[in-house]
Amino acid sequence: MTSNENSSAQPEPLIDVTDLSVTLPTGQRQFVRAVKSVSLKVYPGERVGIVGESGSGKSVTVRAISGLLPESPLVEVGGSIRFRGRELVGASARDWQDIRSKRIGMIFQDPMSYLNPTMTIGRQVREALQRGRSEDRSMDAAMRVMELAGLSSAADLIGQYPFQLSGGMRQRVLIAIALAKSPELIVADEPTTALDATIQRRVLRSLDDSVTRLGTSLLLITHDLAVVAGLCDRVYVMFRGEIVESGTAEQIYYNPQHDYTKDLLRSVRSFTDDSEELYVSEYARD
Amino acid sequence: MAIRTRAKSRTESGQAALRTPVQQFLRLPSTAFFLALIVLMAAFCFIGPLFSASPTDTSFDVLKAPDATNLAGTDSLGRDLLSRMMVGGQISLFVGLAVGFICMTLAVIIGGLAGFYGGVVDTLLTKVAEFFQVIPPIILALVSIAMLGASLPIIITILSITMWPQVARIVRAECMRVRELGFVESSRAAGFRPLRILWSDVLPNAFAPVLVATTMTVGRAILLESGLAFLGLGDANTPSWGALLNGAQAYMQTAWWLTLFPGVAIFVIVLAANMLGDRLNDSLNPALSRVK
Repeated sequence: MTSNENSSAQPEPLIDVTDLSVTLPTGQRQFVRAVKSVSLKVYPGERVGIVGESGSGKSVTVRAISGLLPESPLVEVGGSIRFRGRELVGASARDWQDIRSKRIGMIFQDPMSYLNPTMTIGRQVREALQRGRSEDRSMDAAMRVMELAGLSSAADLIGQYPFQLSGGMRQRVLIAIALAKSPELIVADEPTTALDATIQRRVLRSLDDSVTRLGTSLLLITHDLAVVAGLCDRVYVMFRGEIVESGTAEQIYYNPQHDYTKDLLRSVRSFTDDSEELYVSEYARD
Repeated sequence: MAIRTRAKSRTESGQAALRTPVQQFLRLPSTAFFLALIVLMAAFCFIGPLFSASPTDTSFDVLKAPDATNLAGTDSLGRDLLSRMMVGGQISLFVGLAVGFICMTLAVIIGGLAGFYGGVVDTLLTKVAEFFQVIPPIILALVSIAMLGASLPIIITILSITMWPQVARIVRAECMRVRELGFVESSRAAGFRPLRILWSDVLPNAFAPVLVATTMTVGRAILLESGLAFLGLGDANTPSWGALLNGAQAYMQTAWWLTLFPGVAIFVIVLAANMLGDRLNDSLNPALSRVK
C-alpha cells in the first residue's frame, strides 16, 4: 500500500479504523473475506471518499463502521473501529443505537426502499429528528432540515408520500433524514448512482451545501471518480478488500502511485475522452 | 392482463403527481359496476324493508307467482318473498362482514407476529394456524350446532375459526417480505421498539394483499353461511337466503320463483365480492411493486 498522507499535527480523528477485517458467510458453510485489512481515518469536518469497483469491500467497510452488518453469529469482525476514541467493535447494542441514531447519519443507494411507502415524508423526517440530538423536534424544524437538504418546497412535501416524489427528491429526503439527527458524521454509500447525471450533480451539490453548513464530516463511497473529485478532501482507493492508495484528491488525480489507481484513472479518461481508444484495465481481466 | 400505466395528474401547485391506488381503483369501469351492485344490494336489504310488506305477513295468496303486488311471488305460507329476501339479505351480509372482520383481525395479529418475529414464534403460530385450517367447516358446524344450537353468533364463530388461517398465511408472507426492506432496517438500527416497527413500518406495507384476501373471505363466508342454512344448519328463525333455498326445495317444480330469486341473489353478491377483490388486487399490487 502506498500512501501520500501528510503527517502534520492533527486533532483527534472522529473515526479511526485500524486493521479492520470482515468475514461474511456466503451460503453453505462458505465464507468470503470481504474486507481484508483496512485502516482509515476521518477527521472532524473532513470529507473523505472511498473509491473502488464493485466487490472491493467499500460498502462492507462502511457498514461495519455504521454497525449495519448482517446480524448473524457467522459474521466475523476483526480489528478496531474507534469513534472519538470509543471502541465500537464488540460494543453493546445500546451503544450502537446511540451511535446510529445520534452520531452517524446514513444515506444509501436506493431511496425508494429506504423510505416507508405508507408514511408521509414529513412524519419520516420528524421521526429522525425525534431520535436525534436536536432540541427542536417540531414540524417546522423538520421543514428546515428538508430545506437544508435542498428541498425547496418543503411545506408542500411534508404531506406527500414517497411514490409521489421523483428520484432526486427522494434522495434529498434521505439526506434530510440523515441530517435531522444532527450527526457528527454522514456516511453516504453511492447516494447518486441510481440517479440521472443532471440530477446527480444537483443532489451532490445539496449534500455539499448541507455538510458545509453543519460542519459534519462526510464519508462518501462511490465508484465514480468524478463524484469524488468535486467533493472530497481525501480519498482512499480500495481494491479487493484492501486500501491500495490514499491521499488528497489532488494527489490521487495528478500523482497516482499505485498501478490500480493509475489504471482506474486511465479507464475513466479513455471513456470520457473520445480521442482515446477505450482502455480495459488488466485488473478487470479475470 | 393489459399493462396499466400510471396516470399522471397535476396537483394544485402544478407539480406532477401520481394518482394514489384508491383513485386508480375507483377509475376502473368494472370496479364501479361491482361496487354499485354491492351498494344496491345493501340498499335493497337494509332500506328496502321500509317500502315493502312485512316478512311475516301471511295475508297474501299462497304460492303465487310474481306479479304487481308481490314482485317475487309468495311462499307456502303466503308470505311475500321479496320482503323475506330483504331481511334474509341483512343476515347474509352481516354474517359475511362479521366473519371478514374477525378473520382480518385474527390474521393480522397472528400472521403479523409470526412473519415479523420469525423463529420459534413463527413455528408455533404456524402450527396453530395449520391446526385450524385442517378442520372441515361443515363437520365443525354439525358438531357445534348439535351441541350448542344454531344461532348467528355460533355460525359466525364457526366460520371465522375455519377461515382465518388462509388470510393469516398471506399476512405472514407479506410481513416476511417487508421486514427485509431498507426502511425497516433503518428503523431497527435507530432503535425503535419492535412492536412500533411492526405497527408503523411493516403492517401498513403488508396490508394490500390482506385487503384483497378479506374481500374474498367475505364472499366465501356468505357462500358458506348459505350452504349451512341450506343444509338446515342455519338459524331457524332467520330467513337467510340459504334457508329460503332450503324451504324452496319441496316446491322446485311448481314455484320456480322460490328457488330462483334467493339463488340469484347469492350468486350476485358472491360474484360481486370476488370481482371487487380481484379489482382491488389489480390496482393495489402494481402500485406497490413498481419501484421507480
